[in-house]
Amino acid sequence: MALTPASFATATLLAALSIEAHAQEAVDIGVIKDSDVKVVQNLLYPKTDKLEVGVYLGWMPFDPLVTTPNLQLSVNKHFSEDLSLSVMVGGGYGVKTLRYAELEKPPYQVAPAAYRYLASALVGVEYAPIYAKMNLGGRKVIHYDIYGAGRLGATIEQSVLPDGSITAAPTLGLGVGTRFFANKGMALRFEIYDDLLVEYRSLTTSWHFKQNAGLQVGVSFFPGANTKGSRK
Amino acid sequence: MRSFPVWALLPTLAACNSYEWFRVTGYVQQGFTNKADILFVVDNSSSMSDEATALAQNFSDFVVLFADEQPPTDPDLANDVERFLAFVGDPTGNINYQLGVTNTDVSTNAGKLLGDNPVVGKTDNNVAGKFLDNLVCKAACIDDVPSDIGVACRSGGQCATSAAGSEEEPIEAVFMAMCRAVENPPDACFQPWWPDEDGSGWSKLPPGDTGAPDADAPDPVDYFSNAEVMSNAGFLREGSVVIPVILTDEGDQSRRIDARDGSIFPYDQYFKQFGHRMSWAVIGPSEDATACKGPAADWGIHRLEHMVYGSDGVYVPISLRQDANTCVNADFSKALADIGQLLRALSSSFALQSTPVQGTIVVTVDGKQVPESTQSLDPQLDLVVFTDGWSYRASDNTVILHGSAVPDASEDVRVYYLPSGGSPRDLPF
Repeated sequence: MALTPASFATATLLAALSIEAHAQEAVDIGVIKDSDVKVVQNLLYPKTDKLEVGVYLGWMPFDPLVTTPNLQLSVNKHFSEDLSLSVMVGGGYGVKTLRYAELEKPPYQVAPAAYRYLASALVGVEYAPIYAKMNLGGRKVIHYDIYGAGRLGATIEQSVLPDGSITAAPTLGLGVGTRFFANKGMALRFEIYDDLLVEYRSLTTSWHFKQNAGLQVGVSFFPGANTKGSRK
Repeated sequence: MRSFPVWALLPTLAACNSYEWFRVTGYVQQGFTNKADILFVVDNSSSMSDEATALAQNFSDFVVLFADEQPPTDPDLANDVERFLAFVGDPTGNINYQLGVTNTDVSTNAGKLLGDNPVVGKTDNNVAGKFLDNLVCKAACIDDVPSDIGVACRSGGQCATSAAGSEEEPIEAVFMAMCRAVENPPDACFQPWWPDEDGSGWSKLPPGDTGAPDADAPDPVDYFSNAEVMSNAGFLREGSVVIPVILTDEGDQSRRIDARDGSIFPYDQYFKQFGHRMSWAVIGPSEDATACKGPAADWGIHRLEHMVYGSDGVYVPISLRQDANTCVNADFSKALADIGQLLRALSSSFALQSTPVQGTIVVTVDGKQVPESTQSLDPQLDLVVFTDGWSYRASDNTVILHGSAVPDASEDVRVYYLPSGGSPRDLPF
């Protein structure tokens, strides 16, 4: 019996469909929406459950009368990619500025009862909702995150007047910073912060609100991490 | 994607820290010294004859006390009791002094130190005798010198008789005395002077001068030329405090200030050129309600007050009002005691420009903090005595150092305090 054109077409179609059916498993995923997309890129330097230890050089340059170089140490315990417990301790020594020296001399002859930073210890949280990467000149891709910090603790300060009285001030520290990940074990950190403190000054027997605003740059390490990265 | 509100931090960074403003009093530019060059300028006009006699009689006790640095042996003398107590109560009597005398007649003496021994120093023999001889016999105008003063002359000094000589110029006399005591006097020392046409004063320009050269102009009087440089040699010592003591019943009529002008410009600028700390003492006319002003003009008195109060000095009225119609000479022994106290206090006291808030005073000597002194009453002497350190005297708003805290020469003393009236002046930012 000879094949008719209609029967030939039907047979061809069925054969094609049966070939596809045998080649792979079909998966029905429905319609993809933008809100379903949560990962823009590979998170190459995860922080979850890691310990981070850092050291920083800092400067408090915003006070016109006392300028303060300082050294800070930090320890972070990361609970997730966003949230970590932060401990920041450090020390420094505020020195009188040239403006202060000018005020002490004639014709002004005044000595502001300024206080210099000596040391501080703060504990709080860091929240890092932003993880991103940047392309530098098309040749290098750098991963970084941006975080905000809120910490509580105490600051030790000393009067710059000859009485040299020392005070311990409760402190709220607020900051914004960023980590540039060099590899899985190390990051370059930069933070701008403002410590808000309330201190008692014995010479004037008065309480004063004070801000220690500063900048710090340093490096942090993730002990035990595999320092090798993977394809970006 | 959530983002951190970075903008919320910006106001905190922009806010300024606030500090209380303490004042700083101290002698940063000048070191401290116990050298005192004391210049007595006596009004030698005839109106001062009685006062000069009384002063000379009290000068004897004053000079003996001060020059010998020993307490009077007879503390029962009424006139000496205050001075005795002041001497015993203040252990800082280690002043290296020099005494010189001139008078207010600049036309005749132009600040020249008078006497056979014009500069009498602490280590000289018979300090009191030499000084009194200079004062009574060479400088003052005394008709009949009392025998109890202990000088050889029986009529004193020189009396100003000319109209120009009767112009009392104590400030000019002090200036010219200092001009004569330095190797490089300021240019102002060499100013020539033309007498006024009525002979009552002096001018920097010849009479009728219009600025054009005038062949008929009279020659000026050169009171000071190169020949007079160092004519008071030895009087001004390096680093010394200069203490002019002016005795007059008239206000100042010094020639470089316009008549009826109570300011002290340009003398305040001229004196700075010598580079010496100065503290002025005046026994003179006063506008105080308890005093008698006498013939002195207001503006003349104001000049003297400017010099005294601008240098933390002493002003003692020369004549006191007993009642509405009667004036009596002041107690010159007390006046001299006040001056003696000034001299002793110069080495250890620091006047504050504002009233301090109690408890905020901090004192340092060469950067080292000095503790506050404690005081107690010595029952034997019935005197308040102080331990080593500093104390504050509210009566004249002064910080005083005691005992081992008294600074040596050239030590840098600073007094920090919070002024009760708030910030002392406008600040540069």
